[in-house]
Amino acid sequence: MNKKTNINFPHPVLNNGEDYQENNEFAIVPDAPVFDGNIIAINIKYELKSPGVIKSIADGDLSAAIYLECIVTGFRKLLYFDNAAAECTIKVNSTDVSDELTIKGYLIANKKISEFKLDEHNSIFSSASIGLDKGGIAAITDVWKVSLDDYDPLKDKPSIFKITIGPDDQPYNVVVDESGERIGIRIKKELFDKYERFKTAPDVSAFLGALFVIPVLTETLRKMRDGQYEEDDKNRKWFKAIESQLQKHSIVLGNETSMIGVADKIITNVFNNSLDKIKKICGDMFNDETEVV
Amino acid sequence: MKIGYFLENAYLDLFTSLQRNIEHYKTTDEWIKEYFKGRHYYKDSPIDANLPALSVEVGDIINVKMLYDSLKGKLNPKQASQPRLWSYLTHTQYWKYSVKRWSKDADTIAKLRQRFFCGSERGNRRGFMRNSVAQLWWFGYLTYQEDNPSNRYILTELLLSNSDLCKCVVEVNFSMNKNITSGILLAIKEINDTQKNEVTREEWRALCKYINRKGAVCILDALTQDEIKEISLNYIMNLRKR
Repeated sequence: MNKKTNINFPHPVLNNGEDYQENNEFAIVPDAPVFDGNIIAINIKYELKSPGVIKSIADGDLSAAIYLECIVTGFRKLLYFDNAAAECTIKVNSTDVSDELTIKGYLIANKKISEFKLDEHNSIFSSASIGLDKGGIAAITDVWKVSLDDYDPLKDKPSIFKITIGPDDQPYNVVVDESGERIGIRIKKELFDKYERFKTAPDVSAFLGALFVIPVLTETLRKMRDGQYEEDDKNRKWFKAIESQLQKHSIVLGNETSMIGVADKIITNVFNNSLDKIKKICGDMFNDETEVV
Repeated sequence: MKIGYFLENAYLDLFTSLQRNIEHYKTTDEWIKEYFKGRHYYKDSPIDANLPALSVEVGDIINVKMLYDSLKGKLNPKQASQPRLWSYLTHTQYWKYSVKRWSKDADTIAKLRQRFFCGSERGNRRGFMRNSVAQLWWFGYLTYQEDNPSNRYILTELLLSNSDLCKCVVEVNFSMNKNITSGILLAIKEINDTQKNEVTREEWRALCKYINRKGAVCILDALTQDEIKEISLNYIMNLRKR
């Protein structure tokens, strides 16, 4: 949930600064999305404390509405609550949205209101004659962001790591980018081309990936232990996925001395598994030689 | 025919190697197959369509109609928001078209990223409106008039009649609401058809700014296409009285 930003409205808006007297509130509470085939359903309740505004809704002057927006696909939709209900289920087609859905609650003027004056308005509005156009915003809520790709990437695919080609001018052969939902491991082109060639060989991809992933995860764990991540980072999928794996293994980072040991635990014996893969390939090679001899 | 799209690493390879590949973008010679020789670089999507041959000579409006018609009902906005799809088409099937249409203008890395990719690595709304091929679909999507069988592209024609009008209308937050975009364009069309003077660049710029400002204090999505049209008409007519 993000805090709403203040906008200089030309009229009093509930939840905007001090436009209303204390104890007047408007808030929405969305449940987690439910995926049913192509339909994403989200149940949303709203809470409203303001007798004058409640009366305006009952009189049909204002309506409570939910505004949905998906930045990635450009999807936007306005859905109204029934006047008598403070709860509704919104349904969105999954082909219209991707990644994240932004949800905002509004009270909206249903028609032009020439005189919009309520006892709850702050006294600074008492002398002014204030109206609302149709569609005018009478109340806003905090902004909710609902993730549409809820997965545990360490447990299930896809991985929280994404190995990709990096720009020529990056300072090192391997650069870590933690600014996205997955941890990007960016490799310079020359190295990346080699990685790509090896990757297609059978059994190689698992330990080849580990070659890059383990040092990155170790560094990430160290930074988590030392509290070096900001709030924004803590909301990213990779951070939550690592946290959930730590919980699953009852690991408290502050109690651990070896981050590489923790990495091995949460990726389930990655060293042992990688060596098994290498052994298999080398074993095949030795077998070939044996046959020749 | 299934439409292809770039695999992620192939896409990132091209996106991050623009400086190294810049000479390729100056000629219509196709180079992608050779560049990725021996590597998997694309995949077929489930979208099955007979894509038209685009041509710079026929103009943008004809290209919009051909492309949008061929993909209507087959491509949804989520798919149309995938930069790997559009950059694949730009670099393969529509390579010659894209180079002819944009290479003279795309003389910097930033501009190449706009015309041959979708702006940023993950693509963004402005990027989709600027990619050589994506923009044709999105222009059609935003202005196609299902309820006007005599000419469903009547607003597309107006939108593309002037590049500044097009930019003002489609590269703003509200453009993704077809009611708002259509309402504005219908108002401009009505003035052009009925008044002595057509709407000028200064007037449509001022109108789009006004609607954008109004959107900060009013939920534009709560208004119908006719209401947006009326607001737009009144605004321009009042502007002319000043």
